[in-house]
Amino acid sequence: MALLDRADWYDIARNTNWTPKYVSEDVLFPEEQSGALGLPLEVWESYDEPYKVTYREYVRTQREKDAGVYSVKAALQRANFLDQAEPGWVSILKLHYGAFATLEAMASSAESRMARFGKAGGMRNMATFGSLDENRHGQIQLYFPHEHVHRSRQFDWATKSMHTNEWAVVAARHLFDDIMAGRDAVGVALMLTFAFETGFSNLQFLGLAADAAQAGDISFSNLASSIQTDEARHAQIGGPAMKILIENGKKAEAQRLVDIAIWRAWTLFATVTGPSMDYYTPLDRREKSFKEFMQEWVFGQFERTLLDIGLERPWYWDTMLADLDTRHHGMHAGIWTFHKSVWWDVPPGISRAERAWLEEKYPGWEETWGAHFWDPIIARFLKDGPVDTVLPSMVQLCNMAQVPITGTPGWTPGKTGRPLRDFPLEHEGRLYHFGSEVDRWIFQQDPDRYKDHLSVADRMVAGMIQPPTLEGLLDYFSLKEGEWGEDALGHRWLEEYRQEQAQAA
Amino acid sequence: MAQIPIVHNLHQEFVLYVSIVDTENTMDEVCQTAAQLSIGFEKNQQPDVPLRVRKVGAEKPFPRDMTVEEAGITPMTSLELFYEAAESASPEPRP
Repeated sequence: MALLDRADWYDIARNTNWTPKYVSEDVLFPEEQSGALGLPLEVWESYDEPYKVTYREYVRTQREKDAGVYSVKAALQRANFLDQAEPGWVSILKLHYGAFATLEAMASSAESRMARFGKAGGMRNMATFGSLDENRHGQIQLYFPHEHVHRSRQFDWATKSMHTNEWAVVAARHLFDDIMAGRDAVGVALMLTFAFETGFSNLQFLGLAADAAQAGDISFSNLASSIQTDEARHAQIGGPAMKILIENGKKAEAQRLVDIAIWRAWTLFATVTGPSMDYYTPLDRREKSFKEFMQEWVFGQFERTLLDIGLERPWYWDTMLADLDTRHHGMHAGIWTFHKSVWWDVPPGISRAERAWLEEKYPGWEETWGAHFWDPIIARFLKDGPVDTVLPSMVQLCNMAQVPITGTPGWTPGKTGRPLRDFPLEHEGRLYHFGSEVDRWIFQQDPDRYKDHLSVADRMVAGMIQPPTLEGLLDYFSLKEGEWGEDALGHRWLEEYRQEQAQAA
Repeated sequence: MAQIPIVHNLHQEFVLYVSIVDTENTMDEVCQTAAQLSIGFEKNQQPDVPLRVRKVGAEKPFPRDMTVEEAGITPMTSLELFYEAAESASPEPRP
């Protein structure tokens, strides 16, 4: 049977909206699910997705992608790459799978919301494929780590993480509930696909694929590339929706949602990707620092995208750029110190050569993070032997980002980075704590949305974690022996400093 | 007399901590409790200069012998612990 060219029928077919006779438009597309900001169906008919694909084309392409990825995996499975891989790379894999596998599966539901409640036919069409994409991403990122569970139970956190109250998982859930699970169709289009995927995760998967290839992990590199090509397509759902909103007087609302999502995505990236790039990746495999990557790919390119589409830079843009010198160093310091609180082994990444690299990429690192955080720890370890570091008390977590509130240690005016400080807010008799003015601003945009959530620190204070000890906390995190993180190098990195000390004596 | 949690920011530290103090504790005792927690404290300590306590956003510290209760510090109040000599390095804009 002869097939029509796609261009001959696609636009008509995907716009087959009918006029509802038995229910009103508001019932068919309730505002709380569609989020169309009162714009009627006819306005949304101008939605023009830049990436047009039919179901037949989609299935054929996806089948080819899956065949490629799974066959590479099968071919390389016996090579046992992971047994020889450097510890930092193994940690990146464990972190990645635990953080993202089930979140991707959840994203399928968010895409489905656009597929059902998006008022634009093009959005519904693309989101249908987006939903299938995310289902695939969930499945494949659960399947790949499964072969490694016999090597380490930490790989089982791909499946387990989102069913726990581990602190980083709580942070991830809080973010994705806000921009994905708990948003209407337009909210998901703007916050998940436009802000998070276009601005951050699409580029992240590009970088991950390149890093994996550098590390010799061909199987994971193929996996990341395969996912990225899906992301590059469905990330484009938000752009045309943004155009319609701006053209119809809804720019302020769109800007507000994008501003919220970009900052929240930034705090996640600083927690997960920052330490991975600047501390976990083996030194000879590093192509760019996290700061360079963010400046060039994320902030540089995304800034142009924002301006091109008619939005403004988020009001906190300069604050975010300045945060590049502090936030991820603080996340790494906290995570390494309390490595028992995460499901991956944490490399310190502070050999003399690595420190020289950090100083080159972040001038002033030595006189702040080096002198005021790492050197005291090294001195203590050299004196007493490496002890199992645990943060000595509960740290205060940001009531928005749900991660520790950090600053640059030893900061004084004139030094790079920023000082440690709290941004408190009293609301309806409860005192909230935030790591930045932006986190506090997000809360103030919709206090009812956020006010009832308790951070892990709040839960500890409220007596919800029993006993209120390290053991009680690890139990609350569902981290058992063999799952909780260790120093990824088994403190062998200390030998270099021991030799320095011996030579100096 | 009751135990309450406070949030504190110790001079030149990298992370905010939550500590439990007693409402009868003096500010000097609060500093002592907080200082014991700090990983980097050995490096940052200034033995000849007393640590002082003030609320985030406040200009003046509480008197050293004032108790938590007298200072009106309630649960989860955010406090800055700083060396008097280092006040100029304080991050908080003063009113």
